[in-house]
Amino acid sequence: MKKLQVIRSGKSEHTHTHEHAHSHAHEHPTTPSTTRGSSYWRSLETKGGVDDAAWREFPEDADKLEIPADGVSRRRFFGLMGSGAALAGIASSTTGCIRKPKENILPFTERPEDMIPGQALHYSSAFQIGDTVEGILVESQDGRPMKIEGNPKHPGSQGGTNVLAQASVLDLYDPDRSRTAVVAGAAVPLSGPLGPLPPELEAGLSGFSSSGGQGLALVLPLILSPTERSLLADIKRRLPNVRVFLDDAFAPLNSVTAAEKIGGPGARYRYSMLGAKVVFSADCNFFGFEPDATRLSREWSRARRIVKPEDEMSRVYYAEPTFTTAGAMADHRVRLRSADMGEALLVLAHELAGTARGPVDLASLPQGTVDETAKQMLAVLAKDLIAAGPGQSVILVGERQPAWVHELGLAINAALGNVDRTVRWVVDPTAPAMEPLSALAEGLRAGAITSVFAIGTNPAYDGGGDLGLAELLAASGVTLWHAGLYRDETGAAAALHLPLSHDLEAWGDVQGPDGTVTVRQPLIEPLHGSVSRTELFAWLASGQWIDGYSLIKGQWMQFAGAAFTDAAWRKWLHDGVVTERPGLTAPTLAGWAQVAADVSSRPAPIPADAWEVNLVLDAKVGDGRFANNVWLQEAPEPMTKIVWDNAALISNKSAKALGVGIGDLVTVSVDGRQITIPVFIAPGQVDQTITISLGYGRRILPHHENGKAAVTTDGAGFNAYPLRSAANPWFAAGQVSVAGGRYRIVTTQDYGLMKPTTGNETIDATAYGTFPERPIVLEATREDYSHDPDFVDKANLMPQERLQHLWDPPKLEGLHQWGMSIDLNLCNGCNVCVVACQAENNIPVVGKEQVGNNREMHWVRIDRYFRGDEDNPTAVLQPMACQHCESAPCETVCPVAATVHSPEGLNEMTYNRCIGTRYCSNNCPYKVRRFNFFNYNTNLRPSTFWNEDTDGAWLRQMQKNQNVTIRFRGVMEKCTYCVQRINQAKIAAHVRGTDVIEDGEIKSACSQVCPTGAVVFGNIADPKSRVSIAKRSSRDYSVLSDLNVHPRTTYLARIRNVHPDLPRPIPDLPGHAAPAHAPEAGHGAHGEGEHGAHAENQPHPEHGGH
Amino acid sequence: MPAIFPRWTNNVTILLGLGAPMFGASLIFSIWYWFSPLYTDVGYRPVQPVAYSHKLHVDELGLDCRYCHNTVERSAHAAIPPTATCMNCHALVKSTLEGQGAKAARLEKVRESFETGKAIEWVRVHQLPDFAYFDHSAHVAAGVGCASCHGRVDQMVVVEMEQPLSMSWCLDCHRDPKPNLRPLDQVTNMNWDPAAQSYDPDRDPQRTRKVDPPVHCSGCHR
Repeated sequence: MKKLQVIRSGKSEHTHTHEHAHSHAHEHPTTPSTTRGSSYWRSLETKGGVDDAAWREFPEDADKLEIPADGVSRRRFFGLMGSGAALAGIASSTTGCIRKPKENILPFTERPEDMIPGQALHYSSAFQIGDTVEGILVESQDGRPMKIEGNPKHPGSQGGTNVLAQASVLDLYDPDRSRTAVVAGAAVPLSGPLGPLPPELEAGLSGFSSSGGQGLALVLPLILSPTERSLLADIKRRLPNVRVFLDDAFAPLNSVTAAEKIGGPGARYRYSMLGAKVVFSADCNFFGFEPDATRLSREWSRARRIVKPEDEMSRVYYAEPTFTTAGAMADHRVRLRSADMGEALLVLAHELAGTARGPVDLASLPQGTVDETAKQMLAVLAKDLIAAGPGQSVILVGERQPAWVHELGLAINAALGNVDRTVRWVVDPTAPAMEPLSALAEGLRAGAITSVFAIGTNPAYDGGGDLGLAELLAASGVTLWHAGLYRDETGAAAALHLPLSHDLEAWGDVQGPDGTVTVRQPLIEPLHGSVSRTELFAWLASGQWIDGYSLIKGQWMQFAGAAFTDAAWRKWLHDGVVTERPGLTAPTLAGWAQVAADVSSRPAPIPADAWEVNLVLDAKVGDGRFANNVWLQEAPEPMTKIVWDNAALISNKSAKALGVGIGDLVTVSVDGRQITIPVFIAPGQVDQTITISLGYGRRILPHHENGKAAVTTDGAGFNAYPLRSAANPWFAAGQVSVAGGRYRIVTTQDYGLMKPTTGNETIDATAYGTFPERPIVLEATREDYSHDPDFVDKANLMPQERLQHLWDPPKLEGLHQWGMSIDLNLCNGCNVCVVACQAENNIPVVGKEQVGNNREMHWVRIDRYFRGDEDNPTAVLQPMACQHCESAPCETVCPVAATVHSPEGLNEMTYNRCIGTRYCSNNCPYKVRRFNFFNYNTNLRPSTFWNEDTDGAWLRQMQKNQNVTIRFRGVMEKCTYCVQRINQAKIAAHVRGTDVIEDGEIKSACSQVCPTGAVVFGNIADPKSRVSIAKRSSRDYSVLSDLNVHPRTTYLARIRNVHPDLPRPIPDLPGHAAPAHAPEAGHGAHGEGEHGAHAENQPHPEHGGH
Repeated sequence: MPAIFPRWTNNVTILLGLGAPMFGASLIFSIWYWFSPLYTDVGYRPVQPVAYSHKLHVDELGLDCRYCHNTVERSAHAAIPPTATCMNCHALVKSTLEGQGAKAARLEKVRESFETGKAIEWVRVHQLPDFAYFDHSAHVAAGVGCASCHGRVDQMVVVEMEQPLSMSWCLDCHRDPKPNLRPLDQVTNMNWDPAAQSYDPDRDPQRTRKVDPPVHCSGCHR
């Protein structure tokens, strides 16, 4: 563990920043005041007995404009540029006074067909991570891929993408990428993909071809490419003794094991939420990195997009140890340890046993034990599942659960008639047999394996824990080869390292879990002369270098046979879907008998007094392969809002029992292996459990020509792989103890609170609490919504007659009037829009230090509000960007008219006029304006006057959207509704000879990628546009409507489809709460008052009176 | 008591009183005059790597603008043509000029570029700031003639900037575009003289929409 950032618990000023200047002296009130007006809260610090730091307008360091002297972490360098760049600025500005600098235009000598300079082209391709395959359309501007969109024709994407796909384009241009082969520590430049290779590699392979690959191990990620699978078979034919290992934390090993037990070799299943009225998810975050999450999100959204109270809406029950976004979106959520998920399913099985009959006799299964709250929910859930009818429900089991829980889930699904409806079985006949990493460790220990070739994997990092692969691979008798995007932990230990091409640089193909095949097209030649994984496979299989295009096209000529034509091939490439491919068949489910046996022999649950240590894939960097992606690092974790780090999430109660607060270091140990990591108190976490995300604590070596000592990710977070074991990769019993010392964790959102003045210096929370709740997030149960469809109007604090304008609002005469509608019933805070906006609008990354100073630059932030009990709250997620107010407060205070209104209702930000007074930001009620405190874009300019570019400035430039201005220091910026896309569509219409832009022709970057379609953008002057229809919903409200600023972005209130027999997770609507359901509900077991969480959520006094 | 200030200092106040406003005025004048695009940009005529004459090709040989700048109707850029466009003709012209020495040498760079695939490094003449997003296709579709902004390129042996391309110059036309509009089929006609014709865009049946150029910020600044 590196300890550079760890600040020993001392008096360092740095430690006590606003976010988590967590004072141990402060006890959080155990019973929140019932007089509180606002039942929503952002973080524990701001709830109840608030420590003064949270109210502070500016964090302590915010006034320091100097650059921190220590250059330890490169994370700080973003925006904190030295004098060199400033001098360069002066030099160019003095000459620039006379005339603009001379510019050259370099036309093609022969312009490629279809290429029009300045017009973007989209190419279909695919993104794969683990078992998730998404068809993508990559936008290429003048030959540079710069933005990724979902491919609407691809079933795994349906127009959306996940956050990793969105950010993957940045990895292509990452200056820290490996650029040369490295042999014995010395760089060997590659002349191109087909150029001569280091002779060591050739010699090594020819050595193996004589021995049939004896002692050689290939360590690969999950292979879904038909071509690579066929090449892998060729490799095994050429080198029959080679052993192939799987190293991929995203690979759904547990569900595959379960599937193959029941359906035979190659059997796979995937969930579908189409037609599912009742959903129970056992720790399956279907908005996160579970297989096929983007498709599941889409399907889920179809049953949640309600217009009228009578509309069908699915009901989601959720059990999980850590609060995730899917838990926040669920209608009912219980906190449950990971180890108890199987128990919960057993309880459910017995509840269902009387009614649901399937291939497994549910009544014969052993009894499970869960706590009362969970039991209550499961009993109601069982009734609800039966009521939904056969095939109308789905039980989702998370990938972190062991195979027996998946088997159990499948058995229950089968009993509910869900097979072939919401659980779809297929046989993947070409799935290669791959051994687990534990077998690799064994082989290395036994000396059976002497050479390891890790291709696109990093076993020295993620083979930690009880496998101890880092040490085994570094042992003297082992020859280690590595091919990867980065010289990572494995690359550093390897005798030979090859740079691997990014997916956007290489031909490839990939088969989705439903059998859909996409041919991946490269968008650009390899930037660093690297080779692709497919080419490397072909070389291993034949000893020849064959270019990717010939490989892929040749393979598909073979696959498709007579059906292959050039026209078909072009169509496949164009559409992103290969049509001439036989569908996958369904397996015979013959192994059901196995379920009862596996359930009976399940491991003993973790004892109640031990800590349960949960490891999860990180919502930012996944399993670590995206650790050097600064967009992802700075996208706040959806629930905790932590940036640039991971932390040990524990509940408030557990933290108190341990005597730790946010940022205090603890030692977590599992089977004697331990790590030290700071604590973060996560509301909604199960007590006595700890959740740590994988993927941090990376050590990537800078590429060879780079003089730098460290890469971007260095020093970010803590490596949790040492806690992993082969037997229990995702959760295990462990111990937690206080380690002493502190570490600064930076989060977004938990600042900028308003502290109302009462004239009394000793303000307490109750004074704040007496203020009536303002309409920021609105939600209601479905029952309340049907009783009062216009409940959102009643949240307005100001009577209509008092809403008057101070000035005449601007006249909006444009033909189009742009507006946006965001459905809080659909937004699950997945961060895709945040990253998409960043990619589209050239938004800089500022680094941990500056985020700590509240200076993050994201135009879209996703606010997460907790509500209710601090141990077991509910949560709402709300994307917040510029609201484009019609009478915008920012415009009236700008002294230079840099922010004004367009005739089409856009609140325009004119960078070249802005002088940086920041008045607009101060006057913005939504706090969505972002100020360039530094020139965050100096890294786009080579640091030397020579064009050597050792720091990758030219590379970074290549990603930038040329249709959006790069902002300089000292100017304000904010969401523009993607005005560049609006203008382009308008110009295209004008060229067509019309003024009218059809609905859907313009999609803002956020609405285009949203997997659930929560964001709708369009012309509100057209009553038939999608956005107009959305805004006519009775759920439509504007945030802080009492300000009378008339935002163009409005929200649709969140509706929770609560089961009447369960305690309500949220309070009733004010005013009509009691009569709304007491007399007519008639369900005796209403649970009111008997449930702690409920009793605390009193309706707000005198609130709905206006 | 000795005089601390000599007598001539009495005039300092007067001189300052007269000089400071003069100085201020001249400072304002010099910035207004010498720093404006009208002074700095108009007449900018860089030396190009290939002595390409628009006068020869357009005026004498009668090439249409869009033969080379063929993206102008579809893209923001009226792209400089690829070398291959030159070679469409010069692959043939070359042989007739064989042995004419100096004349043939003018084409040396073009042929070299075509053979090696290396771009000719043209020097940009009309250059807007990076925060201004001009789109050729919109202007061509509206019927703004090439000559309105670029001048009589057909008379230029070496291309130069004729208009300042400053923001106020743009806005003059955006506020009142009519005088600069012409029939849609006359956009590239260098000889079409708006003053000599009585053209009313509102009555042109070829036009399907009324030209309504943006004057708000985000029309050009994104």
